[in-house]
Amino acid sequence: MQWRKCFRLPQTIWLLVGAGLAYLCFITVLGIQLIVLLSGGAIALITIIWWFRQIQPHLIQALTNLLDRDVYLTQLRSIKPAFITISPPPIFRQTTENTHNSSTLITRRLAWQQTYQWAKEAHQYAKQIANQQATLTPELLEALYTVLALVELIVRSLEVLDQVKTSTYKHLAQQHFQASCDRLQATHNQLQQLHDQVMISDLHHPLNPSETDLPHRLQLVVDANKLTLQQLHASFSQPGSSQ
Amino acid sequence: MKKTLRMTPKKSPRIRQFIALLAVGIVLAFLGYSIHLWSAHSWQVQSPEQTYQVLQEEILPGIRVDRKEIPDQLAARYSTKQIEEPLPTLESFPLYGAQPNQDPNVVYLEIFSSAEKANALKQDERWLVDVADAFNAKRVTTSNGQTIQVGIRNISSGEAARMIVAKAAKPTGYTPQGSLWLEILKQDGISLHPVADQLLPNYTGLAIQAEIYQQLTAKGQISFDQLIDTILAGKVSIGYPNPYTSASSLNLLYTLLWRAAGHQQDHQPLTLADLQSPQVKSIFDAFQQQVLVTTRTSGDLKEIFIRDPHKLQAFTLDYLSYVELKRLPGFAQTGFIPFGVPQSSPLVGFEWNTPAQQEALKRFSEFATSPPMQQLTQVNAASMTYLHQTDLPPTPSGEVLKAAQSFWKLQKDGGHTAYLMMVIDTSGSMQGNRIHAVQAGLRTASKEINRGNYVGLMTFSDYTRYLVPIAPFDTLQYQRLLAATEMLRADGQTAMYDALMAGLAELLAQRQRDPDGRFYLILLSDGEANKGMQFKQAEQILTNSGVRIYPIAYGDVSQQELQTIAALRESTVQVGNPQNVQQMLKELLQTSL
Repeated sequence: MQWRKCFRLPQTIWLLVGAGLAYLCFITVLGIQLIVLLSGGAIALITIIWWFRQIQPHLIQALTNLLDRDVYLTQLRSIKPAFITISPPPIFRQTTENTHNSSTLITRRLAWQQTYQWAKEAHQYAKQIANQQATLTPELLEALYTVLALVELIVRSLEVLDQVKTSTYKHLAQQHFQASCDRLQATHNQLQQLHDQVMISDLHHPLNPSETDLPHRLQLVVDANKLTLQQLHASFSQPGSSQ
Repeated sequence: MKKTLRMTPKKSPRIRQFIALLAVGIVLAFLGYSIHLWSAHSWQVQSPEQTYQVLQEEILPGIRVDRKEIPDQLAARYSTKQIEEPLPTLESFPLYGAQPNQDPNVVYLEIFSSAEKANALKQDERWLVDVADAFNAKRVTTSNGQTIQVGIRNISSGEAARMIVAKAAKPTGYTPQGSLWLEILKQDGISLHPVADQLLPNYTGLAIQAEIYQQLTAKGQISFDQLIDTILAGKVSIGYPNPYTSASSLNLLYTLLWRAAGHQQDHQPLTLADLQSPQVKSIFDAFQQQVLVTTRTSGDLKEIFIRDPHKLQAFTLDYLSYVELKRLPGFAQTGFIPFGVPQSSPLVGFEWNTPAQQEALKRFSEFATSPPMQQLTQVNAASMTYLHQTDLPPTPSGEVLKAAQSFWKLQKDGGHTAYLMMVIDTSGSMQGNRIHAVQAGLRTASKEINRGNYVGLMTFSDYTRYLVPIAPFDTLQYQRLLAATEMLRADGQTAMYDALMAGLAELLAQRQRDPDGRFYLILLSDGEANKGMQFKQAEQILTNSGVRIYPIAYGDVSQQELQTIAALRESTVQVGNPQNVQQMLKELLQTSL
């Protein structure tokens, strides 16, 4: 959807035509040789990819509907933790400390991958429920806002875990991390159950949300998330109080 | 040994030029083809003017639209005077807590309550249901030993008042969101027996988008009066629900008119004479220019706000709901400016109550207002400082409130003409009860259209039928609508987007003539498009038409595309069925036309 929008921009069309012409001029001047074709192609390709990477967030920024997959994924990716871009230390230079750092980094990355997966799937379930039951849209939107907030908290906890050195505060950060993960997983599972309930019910007869406990169950998920977020934010800002 | 000189054959410059030109051609062709692939099957438009041009020149020639206009002689046979609006059945409003009981040892109370505290399906809107459950569990008795059992019926304040006035229901108690509805009941001749002035302290305000609120309060807190000045200056746009059904919206309307009449100076209530004043009318017109959307319900408004917080800058909300909204991640900085008459859920009984029922109501209100029950809301009443202010607007008479509602209905378009095209599905799946309910809905809803506004009717199945060309609503147009409604027949497939394009084309043709008009389209469908254009092709046209579309998902239809259509402009999908479609159409026409 967003790619299509990129192609609708006149700037994109001019860029593509310009890159194509520049590529051809490059070949014409330097001759048709493998190295010329490859290097020219790579330059043109990098230019085009850079353009799309730059323009994509601007196109999505104008939209905020979290039920839209592109909008949601853009927001989810923007929470990506800093350690994702750090490479693990090369094996030939491994020391005891390096080995420890490397395994910690791998653990963090696995945790982030799991978090990302839960959040992504939670959106898929929410989207499919909304497609069948439009009246649940406000609750589903609220649920997705809380999912993103939980992901943010998980990332923050992971980063704090790297920064704190004393065992007491490391333990506290670990507790925050675990509580956020548990809540996110529970939200994922509950949305999955609701999704399955809606799908199965629709096989037999269309579900009327006002005659079921669907809105109530969704609201309970949102309330539990809000409560967890409130408690964790409070203890993040006043770490001593929970000691 | 003689070395043989071997030279690599060198290409002549002509061949090199030929290869280069060939490569240019291939790359350009590839680029052109790629661009074509990406943008194919959708029209590239960016404004309503372009949309109109593309519709007329490229889309409509490929769509079959049969004009089957109703002859005026036939239309003239239809009477517009004998159309009665049926009351909804009581069973369509859910009853929570205790169920009706014939046991002589039990005093059963059925209390009609507004949804913001009686919606058991939502955790933050079920306070009164929880109170009733706790009360029933205690098995409280009256002075003569009868056990009191309480049932809570979730029904909007406006609907409840309508049913009570029509004597279609005789509840024991009534607790609307605010006292304004009680004044309307009194005006309609219903004798009320007050039980409690307030069951749950609350008031209404305008919830304001965080960035806008920061700008407004950069130099200190602002009052409602200052906010209204900012709105009138065109700096903030707002949304509110239908004042015929929503207490918050009726409160906003009353407070705005009261202020426009200058009564914040003398503190006198609004009068009927004030509503005739040019000053009041001009302020109301200026205010309406800034109204982005008027929705059917408060829930629709909240959905639009949390879906697209950047689109809706301010909207009406009660304080308790605002506290809940602030708990949502990303909305903690949302502002709130209170206004109007307090909305603290008064409780009244009726003349048809027995003394035992009246006593039981009193017991229930004492229980509901006890500290443990008040604490269920988790909002400290002491924080509601607005309720302690001394300069709140006085409660007006029911006569003035009803006149204010009529004033709103007549003046809401702020001097602009509203144009509405109704595009109704008549495919085979609509047969039977479904089409009959839509017919009944269109008949009664048409009464809500203001004279002078434009309305038209199209139907679609295998192709589009243009039954009532868009024209100013007068008696003849009303008769044409009634005649066309009578003739709706269900058959064939669902060429929904073809009809949508035809409807938009008609509205945009009107827009060419009246660029300042307000343009709406109601799309009612019970199935997905399985013939003609598809969503992807229509998407750009829908996005750039400048027309607000109200999709009604009627029955078991996949709502994905309708959701996307609704999200293009500030709208929500309305989920209809044969039971509620009459009320839905009525309210949509009440707010848009």
